[in-house]
Amino acid sequence: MRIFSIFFALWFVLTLSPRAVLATPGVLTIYAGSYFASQWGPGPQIKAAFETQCDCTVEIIAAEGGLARLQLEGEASPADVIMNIPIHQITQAKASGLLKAHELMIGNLALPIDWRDRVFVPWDWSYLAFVYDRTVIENPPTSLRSLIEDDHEFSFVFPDPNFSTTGMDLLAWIQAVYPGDQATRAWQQLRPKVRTVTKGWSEAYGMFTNGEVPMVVSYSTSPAYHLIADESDRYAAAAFSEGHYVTLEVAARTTQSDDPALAHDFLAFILTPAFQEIIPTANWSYPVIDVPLPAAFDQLIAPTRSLYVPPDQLAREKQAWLMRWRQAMD
Amino acid sequence: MHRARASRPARSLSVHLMPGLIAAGVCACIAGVALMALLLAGTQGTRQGSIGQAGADWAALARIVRFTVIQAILSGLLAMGLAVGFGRALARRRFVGRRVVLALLPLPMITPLIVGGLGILSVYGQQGWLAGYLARALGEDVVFNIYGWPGILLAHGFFNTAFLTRLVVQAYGAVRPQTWAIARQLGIEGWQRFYRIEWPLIRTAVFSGGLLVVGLCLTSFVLILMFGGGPGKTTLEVAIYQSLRIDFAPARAGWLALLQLALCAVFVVLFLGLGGAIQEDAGNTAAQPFGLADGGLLGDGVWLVLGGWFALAPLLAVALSAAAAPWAWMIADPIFYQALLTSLAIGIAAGLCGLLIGGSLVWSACGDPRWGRFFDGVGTLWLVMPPLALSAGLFLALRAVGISPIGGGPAWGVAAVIGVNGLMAVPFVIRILRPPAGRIAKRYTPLTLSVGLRGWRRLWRVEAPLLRRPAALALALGIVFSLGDLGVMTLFGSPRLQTLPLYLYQLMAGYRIDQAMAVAGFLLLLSLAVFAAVFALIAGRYPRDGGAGYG
Amino acid sequence: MAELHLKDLSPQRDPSLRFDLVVPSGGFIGLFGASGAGKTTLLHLIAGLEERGTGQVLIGGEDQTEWPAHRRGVTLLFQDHNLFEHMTVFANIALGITTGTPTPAEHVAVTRAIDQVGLTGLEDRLPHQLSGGQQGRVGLARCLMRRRGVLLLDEPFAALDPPLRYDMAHLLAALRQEHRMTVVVVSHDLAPLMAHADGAAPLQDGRLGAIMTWAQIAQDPRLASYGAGLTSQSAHFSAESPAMP
Repeated sequence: MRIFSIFFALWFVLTLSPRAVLATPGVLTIYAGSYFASQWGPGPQIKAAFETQCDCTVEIIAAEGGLARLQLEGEASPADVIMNIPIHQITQAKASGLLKAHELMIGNLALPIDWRDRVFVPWDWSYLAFVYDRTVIENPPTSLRSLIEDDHEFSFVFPDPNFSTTGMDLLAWIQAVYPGDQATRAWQQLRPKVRTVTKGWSEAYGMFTNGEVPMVVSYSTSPAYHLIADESDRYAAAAFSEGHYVTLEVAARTTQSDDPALAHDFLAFILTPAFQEIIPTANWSYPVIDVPLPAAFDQLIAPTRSLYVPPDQLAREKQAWLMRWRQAMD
Repeated sequence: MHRARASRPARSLSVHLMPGLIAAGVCACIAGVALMALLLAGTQGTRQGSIGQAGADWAALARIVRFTVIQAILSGLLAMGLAVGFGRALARRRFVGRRVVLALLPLPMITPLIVGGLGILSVYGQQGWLAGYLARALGEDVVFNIYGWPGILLAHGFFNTAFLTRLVVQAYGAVRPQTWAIARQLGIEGWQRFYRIEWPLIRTAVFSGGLLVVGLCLTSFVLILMFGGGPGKTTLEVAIYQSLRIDFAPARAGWLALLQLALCAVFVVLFLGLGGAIQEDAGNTAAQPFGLADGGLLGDGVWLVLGGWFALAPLLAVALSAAAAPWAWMIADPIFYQALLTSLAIGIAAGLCGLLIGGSLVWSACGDPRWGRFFDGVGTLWLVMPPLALSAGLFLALRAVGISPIGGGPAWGVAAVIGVNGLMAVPFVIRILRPPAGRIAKRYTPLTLSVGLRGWRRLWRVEAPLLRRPAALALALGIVFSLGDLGVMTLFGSPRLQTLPLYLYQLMAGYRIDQAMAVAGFLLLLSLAVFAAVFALIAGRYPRDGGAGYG
Repeated sequence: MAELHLKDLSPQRDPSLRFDLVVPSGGFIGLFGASGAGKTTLLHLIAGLEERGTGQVLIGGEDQTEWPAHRRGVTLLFQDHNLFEHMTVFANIALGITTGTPTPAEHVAVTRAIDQVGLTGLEDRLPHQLSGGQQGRVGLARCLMRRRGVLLLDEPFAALDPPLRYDMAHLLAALRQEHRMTVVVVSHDLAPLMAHADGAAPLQDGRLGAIMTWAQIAQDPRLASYGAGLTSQSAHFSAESPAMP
């Protein structure tokens, strides 16, 4: 029993002492995706950058489930800012009354689409893309139609749209190229090329870099990680002639936040170079304002056409898309 | 002469019923409160889009139920088939390393799911051992797709076969050696002997263990997500996860949880009806080698290799990749230590909690045989209670009474994690403690009554020393299950509550596969260390020879 | 010393069994009957270990029917599982006076009881380190510790070789004298009791017969299988003292 009490003592010291910090005012709690919040994601750098100018403590929590977590916690939620509500849920999120308008001017952002939203502030963006292993696939398809309709030797993996924003974006991309019911046929044709559907993006990408599959649905900026961190050009994104789907991530502040002004300051901070310069080489995506990009980003594909489905339409149609996908894949 | 207030023997039995009734009441309250909270949250709140999806799609629901049941039954059958072949070979052959294999058999069961999943990938994946070997042997690349049915069955098979095998070996161990001599004298050999003599003797163990496996697979979640590979491979538990974490439709989660409970209740009834795995078995793996003379060596060899490979190769894969992984980095990371301590503290508390509740149920089940089945059933039902729905329901309930499970300090969140993990361990506590406790009760109850050893005294002087080993096993299992928990933790967790599986998961999300393997290997090692430590602390203190085989 | 009086005693789970019996204070009798006749059930009923259906148990003239087992004025030596396998000889015997830690005075009493049954020196042994005869005497010592007026024994000779059975009967008689107890012995084998007991009662068809003398048993043709050993009147007093197993 002695050893147990030592454990508990140690554990309480380790777990409860930061509590005191949280209880003091000036703590900004941010809900984010687990990659963002992890020690390898952009979270720690952004925390440090904001703390130098806010006289506050930033706490970034890996809150899987984003909106669902906020809904579950309701009034009790400690979150001041939430950064991981996917685009297809923002209509629902705004209706929940859990979020508060940002009160910022977000007119001229460096986005391929026009973004005007009173609640959500974009903090990064990228193009959805099929990323492939050049040592396995020498001639990748040059269009989404070719990928879907032609025969190919390779198979690919993508995250489940039920669980992953990346997967939902793929549904939207295919719907944009194959409107309405045509998508059913497209999924049926795609089906033999799908190795598996994973729960999240990281599992899919892990399989890809582990050599389990030669192609994965990810982002046009994903190869930048390998170019810069691994100094390898083994992985590249296939440029598709129909255009690429634009995916972006957005942040909002919460209604029940005990320091809305601080949350507002953070949202404003998102749109400054101090935040945005961290994005390219920590989140491996594009910043939403004009900041210098690393040279390696020049080697990435530069789609000429951007495809995009507005959030309200997404919210209306996603159930039908999911149903179509489920039936075609089952 | 004692002139005490007289009381009927019948009334003194309430001492036996009380702890179990309290434990059952606590169980019922927690389950009821959680489910009510889920169902009520649905009727009040969510007018959002998700509700349209909630009840309407019966066809989809039927598909989910069908898949849930079919995959569970197939997994159970696979595990039973392998376990009979493997267990029989282990029971009747003597070979170098047999003891090691027997000692390693409980290991898959205590391996955290995520760790075992990684191991299965490293063996059967495209980059795994098998594919690599075949590619070298055939001189060309082999496409190995384990996603879908193969992956699900391989994974469920890995986690459950070894445990069933142990039951089969024990069943053979309980057979009196004369049986084999008689069979030989009568010339009953080979298939005849298996069919007419062995099978009837091991059938109960195989079926009751098999039903337990089916029950476990009915609630499969992590492995389905890992290996399912498509929207068709959705179990009820996955659907519950989706309702809670993606769509936030608590009412739907509540109804799905009720459906799962109802579905599983059928299996629990079957399980108890079949004489129950909760029988008073001998717990002896020292079966006599029988029928050595009648050949079948080749067949047994094949089973041994197959079963050994199936149950142990993924673990070996984890151990090997972990050994090659960057350990130094992990040891230098302060977060690792915090995660380790938190995991251990929560694990120990959850293990004790499970032992307390399970032990109370067992105490009462043994104390009053008329209620035995009731208490066994209450405990076993937790096998199929979806932990996510349970914790989400508790979360909502706490919120409803004004206690913030996260904002108001970690205490409530921690208590909930401990409670839920503890409850999840209860079915295993019961399975482990019930047979020896039943034997002890049968043997010593008249004696304890006549000398007046009752209540705490009896527990302390009779059950405690005699049940040290099984209690240690139950406690260690509870701790280890909690150590591997990811689901409950992600709900109540906060950055100050970093646990090892969360840490592992974040490493994978942050895409540090090598480092994740190091943590996976460490988790495996930690599980073993917990077993060793718990046994040394609890089971080891009492002289074993006194226990006369209550192991 | 107490009289044992059973009035129309019947177990709940088998109403076909009905027992009436009077054993006078200080009496020493045997009970015999076929396997499954209900002998153990009878002893458990008297000791309060079996749910009673009807009837009364009077001990020393006091109605103890409703008393819990450990308070009754009887003590029972079970046929088997008399001892906690994980407790030493000393601990097993000490349970007769206290379920807690013995006081110094109780310690002395336990040591004396161990001496009486001839187990001195074996205090720290565990039951499985003892012979069958020694185990029986540990159980007996614990019964003595409980200082009850009535001692019930369920097949105390079953686990013993024939010579040891006579030793046991002899020991019982000696202890009965010293502790002035009423003794009831259930046994298949009546021969060892002959030299000491007052007689024996048959248990047949769910009823207890009247206590018969040894001569009556030997002559009754219906009891031939029990009576056979009794005629030879062989007082097998083994030279061995109980202290030397």
